[in-house]
Amino acid sequence: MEKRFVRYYVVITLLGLLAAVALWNYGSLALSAPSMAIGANPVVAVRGSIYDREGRLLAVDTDLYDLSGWRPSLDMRRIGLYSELMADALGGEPSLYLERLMEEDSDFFFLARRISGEAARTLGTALAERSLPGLRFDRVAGRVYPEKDLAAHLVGFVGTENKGLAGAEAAYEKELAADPQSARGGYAYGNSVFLTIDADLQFRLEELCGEAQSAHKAEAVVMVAMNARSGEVMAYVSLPDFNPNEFLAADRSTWLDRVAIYAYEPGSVFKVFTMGAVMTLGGIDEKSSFVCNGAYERVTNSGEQILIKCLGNHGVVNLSKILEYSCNSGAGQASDTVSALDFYAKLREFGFGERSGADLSGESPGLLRAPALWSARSKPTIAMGQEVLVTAIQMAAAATPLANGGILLRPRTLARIVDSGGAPVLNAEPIPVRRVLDERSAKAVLDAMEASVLDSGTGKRARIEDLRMSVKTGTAQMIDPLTRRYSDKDFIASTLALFPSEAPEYIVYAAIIKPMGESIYGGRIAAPLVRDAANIIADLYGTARSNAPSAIHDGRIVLPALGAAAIGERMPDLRGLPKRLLSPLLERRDIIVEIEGDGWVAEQYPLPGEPVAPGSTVRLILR
Amino acid sequence: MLSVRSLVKSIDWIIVSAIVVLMVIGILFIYSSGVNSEGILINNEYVKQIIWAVSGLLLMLGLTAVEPKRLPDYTALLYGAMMVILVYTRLFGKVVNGARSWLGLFGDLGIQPSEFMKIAAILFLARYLDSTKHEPASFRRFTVSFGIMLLPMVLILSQPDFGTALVYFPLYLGVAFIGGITLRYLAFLLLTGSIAIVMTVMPLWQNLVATEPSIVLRIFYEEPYVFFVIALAGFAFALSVLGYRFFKKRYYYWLSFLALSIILGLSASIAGHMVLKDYQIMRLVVFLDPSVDPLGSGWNIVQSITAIGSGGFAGKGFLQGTQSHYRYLPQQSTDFIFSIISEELGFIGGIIIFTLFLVIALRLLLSLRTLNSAFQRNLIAGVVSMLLFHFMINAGMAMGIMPITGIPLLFLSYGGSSLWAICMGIGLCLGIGARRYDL
Repeated sequence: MEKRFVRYYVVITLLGLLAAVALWNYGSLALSAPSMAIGANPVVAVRGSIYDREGRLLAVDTDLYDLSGWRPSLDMRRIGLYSELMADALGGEPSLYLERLMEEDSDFFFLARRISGEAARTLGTALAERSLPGLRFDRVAGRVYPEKDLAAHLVGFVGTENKGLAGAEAAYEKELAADPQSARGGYAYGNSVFLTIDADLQFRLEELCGEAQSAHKAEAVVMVAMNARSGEVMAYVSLPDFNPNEFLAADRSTWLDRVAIYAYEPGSVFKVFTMGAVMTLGGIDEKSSFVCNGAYERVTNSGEQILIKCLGNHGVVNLSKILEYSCNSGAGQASDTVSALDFYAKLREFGFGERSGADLSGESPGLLRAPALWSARSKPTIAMGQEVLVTAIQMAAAATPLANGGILLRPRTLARIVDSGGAPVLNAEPIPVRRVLDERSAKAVLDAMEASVLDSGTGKRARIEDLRMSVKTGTAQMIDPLTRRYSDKDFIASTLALFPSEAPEYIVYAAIIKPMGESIYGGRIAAPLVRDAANIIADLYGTARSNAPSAIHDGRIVLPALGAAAIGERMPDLRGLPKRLLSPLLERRDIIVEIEGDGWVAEQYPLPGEPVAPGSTVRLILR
Repeated sequence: MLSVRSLVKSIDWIIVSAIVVLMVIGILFIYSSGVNSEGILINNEYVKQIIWAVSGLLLMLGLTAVEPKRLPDYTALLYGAMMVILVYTRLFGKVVNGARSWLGLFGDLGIQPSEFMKIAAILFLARYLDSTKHEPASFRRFTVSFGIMLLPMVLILSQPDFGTALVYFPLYLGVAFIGGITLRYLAFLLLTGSIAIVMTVMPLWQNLVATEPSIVLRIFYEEPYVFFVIALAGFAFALSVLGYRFFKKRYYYWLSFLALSIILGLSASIAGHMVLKDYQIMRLVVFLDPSVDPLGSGWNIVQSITAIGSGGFAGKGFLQGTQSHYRYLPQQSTDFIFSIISEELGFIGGIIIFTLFLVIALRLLLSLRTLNSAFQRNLIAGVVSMLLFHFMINAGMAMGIMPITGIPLLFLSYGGSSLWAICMGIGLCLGIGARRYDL
C-alpha cells in the first residue's frame, strides 16, 4: 500500500463504517413492529385521590376512555370482527358499530366516548389477541371533584396536564402524581391524600357562612374550625368559593384562598395575644390595673404626643375587663409594661409574621415588622391589632397555646397519605412547636375571654347558655387602597372562640370581610356566626354541655343497629342493605340466596312484596 | 482544452444519473408534502423545485466546462467576493426563520449566500493547502487554513444559523485531512470541538435526560467552578510549556496539548451558554430522549420516528402517508423530507436513497487516487464531505440519532440555494474527473 494513499483508504473505511451504522439504525427503525415507535404504548398515570378524614372522596381521577378509529390502519377484511368485539365489550348491536366503521367519512373518527376503563381494557385485550390494528383508546384526562365547591380552596384544582395548581392538589403534587417509571402493566398510580377536614362539618359551616355573607352583604367570609388539642383543621371555609370542576369558568377573584393567603389587620381579637404575651413576659398579672379615661395617651421622650381613642370611658380596667370591654387604652398601657423587642419576639413566637406550615400551597406569612422599623405609635397600635397583618389560619393556630397550657401547635390539614394499595405512607401526628405562654397566663387569658360573653361584654352574642365559651371579638378598619388611609366604610368583623372553656377542645375563628349590612361590628355580626358554628360542632361531636341532659353524653354516637336481613313469606325490601347484613340469609336451607358483587344491595329478584316459595332462588345484586 | 464532444464522453454519467434520480424523487415528495389530508395541493413548492432542479442540473453540466487548472487563480477573488456578500447579508439581509440569512434578489426570490460560501470556502482552502503542501507540519498552515473556514463560520453563526455554520467544521476536517494537515492538529481540533459541544449541552442533559445527574460534572459547567477549572488547566498549560521548553520531553508536549484543548473547549462552551438560547441547546440534546419534551423540541423527532416506523418494508404508497398529509411532521419539505420518503416508500425507498448517495460519494472518492493535483483532490474531498455530512446529519435527525440542526438533505430537500451550491460543487468535480487523463 502506497503511503500517500493511506488517508484515502482511511476515508473509504470510515465511509463504509458510517454507511453500515446508518443502515443498521435505519433498518431497525423502519422494519420494527409499529408498536415499537415511541409513544405507541404510553403509561397511564392515575393521579391519587383526595379524601376528607373519614374517607369521603373530594377529588378523583376519572377512569374513562375515548375509543377512536383510524381508517388507514384498519384491517378492512376483518371489519366484522371489530364490530363483534366492540359489541361484546361495550354492549349494543354489532351492526351499529359496523355502520360507524363503514360510514364515517374522515379517516379519524370516534366510535365511543367516555367508556369505562374496564370496557376499554377488555376490548383492548381482545383486539390485541386477534392483532386487529387501527383502534385506539385515549384516556380522558380528567379530575372530578364530586363535592363540587366543598372546601374548594383547600382541595384546589389541577391544570390541563393533571398537574396540581392550587390547594392540596399543588401542595401534595409529588405524592398525588403517579410516577410513570413505577408503572406496572401500563398503569402507574399516585398516592392518596386524606385531609383533616370533616366534609360533613365543612358543608354545614359553609352553609352557615354563606347565609352570613348574604345577610351582611359581605365581600367575603372566612372561617377556620380547628381541633384545639391536635391542631387539625376541621373546616376550612373561604367564601366566595368556586367549583373546581369548572374552575376556569369561575371568576378569578373567587380563587383567592382567604384562609391562608389573604392577609389583613385583625383588630381587637389580637388583644388576646397581646395580653397573653404581656403577662407571660411579666409586665402584668391578673390583678394589674390601668385607668382608661377614653383614650390611650403617652408623651414620648422626644415630646411627641400619642393619642389613640378608646371605644368608651372604661375606668379602672384589669386583664379581664380589658378583654371584656375590648379596651384600647388598657391594652396599649399593658403593652407599655414590656419592651418593644420582647413584645415583638413573643408575638413572633405565636407564629405571626411567618407561614404557619399547615401544608398549604402559597401560604402568606402575613406581616409583623421588626421593632427597628416601628414608630412610637407602633407598639400600642399592634397591641390593639392594627399595624400587623395576619391570616385566618395564623389566628386560629395562635389560639392553640390558650387551649394547651401555653404550647403552640402547628395547624395541620394533612391527616395521612396512603399508597395505591391502601398501605400507609405517612400518618400525621400533632406537632407541638414551642411553649409560648406560661400555663398561668394561658389560663388567665382564657378565663378573661370567657368574661366577654357576659351581658356587659362585647362577645355576649356568642353566648350559648349550656356551653362555656371563651370569646374575643374584633372590628378592624381596612386601609382604602386609593387614599392609603383607614376607610370609613370597609371593615373586617371577626370573632375567635375556644370551647368548652374549662378545657378547650375546639377553636373557631371567623372573619366577615367588608360587611355592608346593618352592622359592621364583630360583636354584632361575627359573634353570632361563631356561636352557630360552635353549636353545630358541639352537636356533631357531642361536646359536654353544662346544663343540658346531653352533658352526660359520653361523646360517642351510637347508631341503632340495622337489623339483619330476614326473608319471610313475602320478599322484603332489601335494597340499600350492606353485604354483611345479608350473611344470615346464606344459612337458609329452604331457599337459595345468590349474592353478586360487593357493597350494598342495588337490585333484588323477586321484587319487594312478591311471595317467596320454599326452594325458590333469591338473587341480590350488590354495588 | 477538451472539445465538447470528448468532454461529454468522459463525464461520469453514473453520478449524473444518480443525481437526476435523487432530484426526481425529491420533486415527487415535495409534491407529496404539499398535499393535505383531503388530497388538496396546498402549495406549489414542487413547481419551484422543478425550476431549481433543472437550472441546477444545467449549471452543473455547464461548470464541467471550467478548466480545473485555471480554477485556483480565481479562488481568492471568489472567496473575497463571497465574504463581502456574506457581511452584506448579515447587515441588510432578510430574516427567514429567525436568521438574517437571505438576500432578496427580486420579488420573493432570494438566495442564501451561506450555502454558496461553502463552495467558495472549499475552493480557497483547497488552493491554500495546495500552495503550502511543502510544509505539511507547520502550525501556521493549520491556523491559517482553519481561519479560512472559521471566518465565514463565525459570520453565519451570528446570523444566527447554527445548523449551516456547523457544516463548515466537517468541511474543514475533510479538506484538511486529504490536504495533509498534521493529524495531531486535527485531533486537537476534534477534541476541543467535542469538549465545547458536550459541555455546552451538559447542563440541559444533566437536568433533563440523565437519570442520575453527576455532581462531579457540574464543576465543568457551573459558575464559578468552571472558572477554577479553566484557571487550573491554564496553570497546567503554563507549567507544561515551561517543562517542554527546558526538558524537551514528549509528555510535556501532550500535557500542554490536553490542557490547551480543555481551556479552549470550556471557554467555547461558556460562550455557547451566553450566545445560545436554552431552546437551541435543547434541540441538540433532545434526540437522546425525545420523551423529555414530547410536545416541544422532541415533537419533530417523535413524529419523524413514527413516520419512518409506520412505513414498514414497502411503505404506505405514494401520497398515502398519514404523518405528512395530516401535517404532523414539521418542515416536511425541507428538514424532514427523508421521513416522508420513508413513510411512503418504506425501507426499500430509504435503501434506494442510501445507495444513490453512496454511489455518488464512492465514485468521487475513488477518483481521488487518479489525480495528481493536490488542489483538485482537496476540492473533491471538500465536496464529498459536504455531501456526506449533510446526508448523515439530516437522515440521522430523521431517525432520531442526531441532533436537530435543520440542515437540508441535498438534492432532495426543497430549496434553491443548497441545491445550486451542491450542483456547482459536483459540476467542478465532474469537470476534474473528465480531465483526469488530460495532461
